[in-house]
Amino acid sequence: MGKDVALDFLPSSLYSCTCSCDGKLAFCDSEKVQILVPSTEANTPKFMKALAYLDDVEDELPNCQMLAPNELRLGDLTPSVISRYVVWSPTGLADNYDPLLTVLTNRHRVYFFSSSSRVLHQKWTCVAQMSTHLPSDPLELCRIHSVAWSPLVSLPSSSPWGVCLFALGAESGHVHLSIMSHSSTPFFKSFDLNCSWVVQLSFSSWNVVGDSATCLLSCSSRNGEIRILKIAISSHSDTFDTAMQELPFSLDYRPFSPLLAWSSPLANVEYLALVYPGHLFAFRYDKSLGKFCSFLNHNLLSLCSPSGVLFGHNDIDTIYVYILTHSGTLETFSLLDNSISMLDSPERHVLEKFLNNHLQNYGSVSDDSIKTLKIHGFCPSPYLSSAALHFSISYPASFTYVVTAAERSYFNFIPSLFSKSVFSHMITSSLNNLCVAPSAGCLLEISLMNDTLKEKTDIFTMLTNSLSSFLVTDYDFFLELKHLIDISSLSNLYLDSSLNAMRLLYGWSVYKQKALDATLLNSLRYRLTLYIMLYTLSQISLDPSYLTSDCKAVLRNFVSFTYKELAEVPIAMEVANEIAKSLEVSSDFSETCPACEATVQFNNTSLATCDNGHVWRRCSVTMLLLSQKAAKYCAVCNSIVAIFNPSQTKCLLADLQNELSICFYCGGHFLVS
Amino acid sequence: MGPKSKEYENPSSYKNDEDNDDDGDFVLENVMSEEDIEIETPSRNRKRVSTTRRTPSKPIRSQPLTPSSSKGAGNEPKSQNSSTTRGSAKKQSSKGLEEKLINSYGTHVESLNKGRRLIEIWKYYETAPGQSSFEGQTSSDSKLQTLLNLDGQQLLSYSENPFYLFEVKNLSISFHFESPQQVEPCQPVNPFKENPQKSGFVVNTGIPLSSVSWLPTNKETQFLAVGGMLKFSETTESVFMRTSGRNQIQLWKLENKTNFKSEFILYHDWGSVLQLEWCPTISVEDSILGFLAVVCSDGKLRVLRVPRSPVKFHVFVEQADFTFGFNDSLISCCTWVSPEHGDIHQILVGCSNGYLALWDILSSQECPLFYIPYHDSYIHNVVQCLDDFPWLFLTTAFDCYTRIFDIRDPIIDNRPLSHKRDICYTITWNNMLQSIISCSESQSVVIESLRGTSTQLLDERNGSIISLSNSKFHPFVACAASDGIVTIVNPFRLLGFSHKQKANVHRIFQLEYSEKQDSYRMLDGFRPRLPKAKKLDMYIYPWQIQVNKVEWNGNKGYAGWLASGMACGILRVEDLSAVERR
Repeated sequence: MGKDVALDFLPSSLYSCTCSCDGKLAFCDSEKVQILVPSTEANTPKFMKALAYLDDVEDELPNCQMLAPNELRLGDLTPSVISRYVVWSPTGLADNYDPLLTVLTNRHRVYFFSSSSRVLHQKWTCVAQMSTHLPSDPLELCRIHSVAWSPLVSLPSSSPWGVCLFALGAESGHVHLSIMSHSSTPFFKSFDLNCSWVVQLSFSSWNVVGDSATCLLSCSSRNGEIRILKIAISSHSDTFDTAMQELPFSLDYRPFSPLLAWSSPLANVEYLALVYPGHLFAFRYDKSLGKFCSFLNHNLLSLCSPSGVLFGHNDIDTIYVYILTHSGTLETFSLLDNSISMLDSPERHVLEKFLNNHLQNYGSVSDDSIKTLKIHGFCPSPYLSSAALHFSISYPASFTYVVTAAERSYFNFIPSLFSKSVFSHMITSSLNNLCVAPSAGCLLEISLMNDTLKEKTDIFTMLTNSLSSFLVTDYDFFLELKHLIDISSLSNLYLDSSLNAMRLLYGWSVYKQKALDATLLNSLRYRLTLYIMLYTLSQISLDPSYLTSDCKAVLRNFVSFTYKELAEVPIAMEVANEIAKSLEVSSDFSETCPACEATVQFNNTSLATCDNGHVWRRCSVTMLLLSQKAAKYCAVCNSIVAIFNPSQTKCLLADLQNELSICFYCGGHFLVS
Repeated sequence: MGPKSKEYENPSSYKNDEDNDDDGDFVLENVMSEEDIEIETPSRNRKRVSTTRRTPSKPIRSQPLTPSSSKGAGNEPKSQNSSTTRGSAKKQSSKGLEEKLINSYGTHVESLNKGRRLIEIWKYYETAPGQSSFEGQTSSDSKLQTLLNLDGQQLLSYSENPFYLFEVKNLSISFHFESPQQVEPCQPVNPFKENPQKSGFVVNTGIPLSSVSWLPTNKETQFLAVGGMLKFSETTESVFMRTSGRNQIQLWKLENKTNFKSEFILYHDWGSVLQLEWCPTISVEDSILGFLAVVCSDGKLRVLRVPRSPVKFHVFVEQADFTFGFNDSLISCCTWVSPEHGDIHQILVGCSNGYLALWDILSSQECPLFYIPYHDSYIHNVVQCLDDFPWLFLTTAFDCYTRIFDIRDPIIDNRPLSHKRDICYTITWNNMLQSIISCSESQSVVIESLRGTSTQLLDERNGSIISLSNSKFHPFVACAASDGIVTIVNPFRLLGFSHKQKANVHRIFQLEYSEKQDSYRMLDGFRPRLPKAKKLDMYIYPWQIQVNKVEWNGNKGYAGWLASGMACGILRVEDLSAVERR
């Protein structure tokens, strides 16, 4: 069955939940945001609950009594700050390279939250406030009604962490746009859309051509006006260009904002869906032509407002649209060019079965009573293979509640949604760039699939077959060691397909099977050691003072490891000898025990024992003794990495600290303890 | 010492002092003159005291200010005592007044000044004043918008299908302690024959009234739509079930404030009428009286274009001009949406499952603009905050929550006002007070300020508050309850004076029912008095005397007319602007 999470609060808004790239869920919980972090520990709950409090972010209450009636908003009259909309940013934007939690409050302000957390005691704090970056006058220009993030785009000549766009819809009919990257400060540009309140924003995917990329931002106002901005960025500059993209088709008179959603790209075609109560318009956008070609018009059965839209793919390259309304009605149809076919409604049967199971679990069910199902939030995962469903069941006639719960893997029950193309797309995204598509989210999706399918070996077989073509044996790696391309940056380690394939396999073994794969672990460690030594040699030739004393200690460990483990590989010995020459020390060096200053021999890559019996744990990257307190843990494989304070900004330790910001072995994100 | 001791020994004299503090300088000077008379002739003094107690506001209007003669008549010690009392009263009232002002109107300069002017105008009225006072104090008349052109639409569809007339019994009603008289159905009775200054009508409509609605118009002729339940009964079907059946909507006509008659009757098969609401615009077509929104127990909302002069008196409505509904829920209430700019063409409805929906008549597709969950149970009322906040809407539901939301962005801009321990059956918006007037614990009428956090008690009743009504021309709040009593209260009496001041409650009429004799008694002519403390015991009143709906007339020149609909079928229409105390 699916993974239910019983929540103990009522949501403070519709559209109350959101999924991040690495599998976190966030819910609007009145004066705070409930965050569910997936846990891979054995004998622990599947989700760790964390909270982000909003009370601490508002230092001064606005003087709402000074406002005229036409300037007064209900949020100004509320004594507390209530979360109204939450959305995750793409990964890599926070200081710890996690996604930023973006919260829109009832006072129309936007805040960024990030975790400075310890294991099992998560705490999220406010790291930025958008009102300080927006113009304060007039008041309607800084009142935000909608928030949207674009996907990350990694241009060839830019940082592998990529950039993205952040959009804020204002009350004055403006859209504030800013380019965001890792630890960057927002710098907004405002564009007047000549409409009323901008209450809906949605980004399409990027279309990368050479060193530039374009995407579309669809905007909707409270009066139903639709505006589409075409945004182009270039890696040569930090700015972006915008142009109004016309929607060539006219809609019927509908003076209210629809729900906007973009599908994932399929064969250079993308769809923009406008979902009204009882009606759907889907506009086909051709990326090669750069314009909208046609649109589909479809009547929905339910008149209820939609709570979410999900675009699914099947194996024959057909896009299905799943629309779930607030009253729990699920409708699905395919986006074909010349025909709209309604399926035999297996999804409805699945939904009824799903709800009946939950009703039985969460309370007595009487056929005579009137039940009301409310879908508070319906958020697809970034890989479109599952969806988070936040719902509650109440009995209006007896004025009682039953429960509110979040179900993540509901759509795994639908056979037509899970397809090899989705799986392939997921794997391909992770193989290309783990910075943009973190492996934590990918492994979580695979785990959900594995839990729901009857044949559990299918997932593992598919994973092995998909990754086998990218794997490179140790022997082949050593043969081509001298011919490695692009060793100018350590971040390029996450762009290598073979390394990413090994990371996914190793991560899967740790994530699902709860067992270490020693072969994969050693292979990854070999590559890490040799790659860092080659990188160091290239940097030394450019900067003679690149190495500090701490850097030399790290390199000594690498040389010792190579002498011990790779003595039979000539090319590895050659690299190690060259490093040893630059260190100007003898080959039989040893570390000292911090407790008794005895000699510590390099015998193990995980633990170190001195002559007097003191045992120390080693850093998984630098293999130094973890005598200091500061360290961080990988959320997936629990490998420990020390946190250093380099004495100079340009040295090996500083580069390791800054650029190896996600786990080298599995691609997961770190938790700081 | 002699006059002082007499003053303390006389309770009525003590009350005079309290009243005089509230009214101001004029009354104080009058009291001094009365004390002089008291010394000379004690018997005559008593009569004068009673006269003053009966009509405390008359001296303010009739007697001009003559400070020199009054002060010259009194001696020096008495004048010193008067000045001391006057000073202390001002100090106390000024502090409380400022706090109440800021809580109600905020510190925005224009809003605050507007509030001050309104308080200065209305705080002296304990009961409904004369007509000239109503209209003269209105600073501006809100312009009603006309509906968009619908020339292509057909008129109301009615046919010659056979239908039966309802059998209605005569009601035995006693007025002013007179002998009961048999009131025939649909025959208006004037209960104020002996008092030509008062004007009003009592009608036996023959249907258990649940909703009344005045037609917005700028002409002299007034129309009143009246609807009710299917049958006379203490119990009814569940509000969550669809019921239908033959029922009627009566349209009454008021001409020249003297003639009240039934214009025509609309028959339908939609079940009990839960709510009637005229579109708040003036019809531009002479053949159409107006647009009437009807919410019935079959769970659908219908909009009827009511003809001004139908061919027949009994009209059967086969199909409404606009019909809106859902398959999974019942529409329970509605309100027309008057936008800040533009014409009125949208209706906001509440449903039995706690959802809110917005319909647009002009939309070619018969789909709501939004249909979102909002409450957890049956939504009982939806009210728009006209005129200063036309985008805010108030809702009450059976989950005991009262909520307010902004229709421009209902997902973000919404918040609960309060959670009550009982179902809040009615809620209104008073624009002069910038406050929400609702009932708390089903028996207390409270004022909840929009900007501040203060809640003031306006009235307490022994029965459940069923209906409240406000007007844009005056601040008087009409309260109807299950005890058969309709009262009006001036909430500015709470704002214009000190903390301890309470507003007098003027009981307009009281309906009583005797089950043994199967007769009713309608009493009026009550004196305004302070609200009594609520009794501890709960008394269940007969269902026949429950007043289900009160509504002020919203047209200029007729703002003092109050319509009251009762569960026994009695409709009372009365011009309160001509109220004079005997």
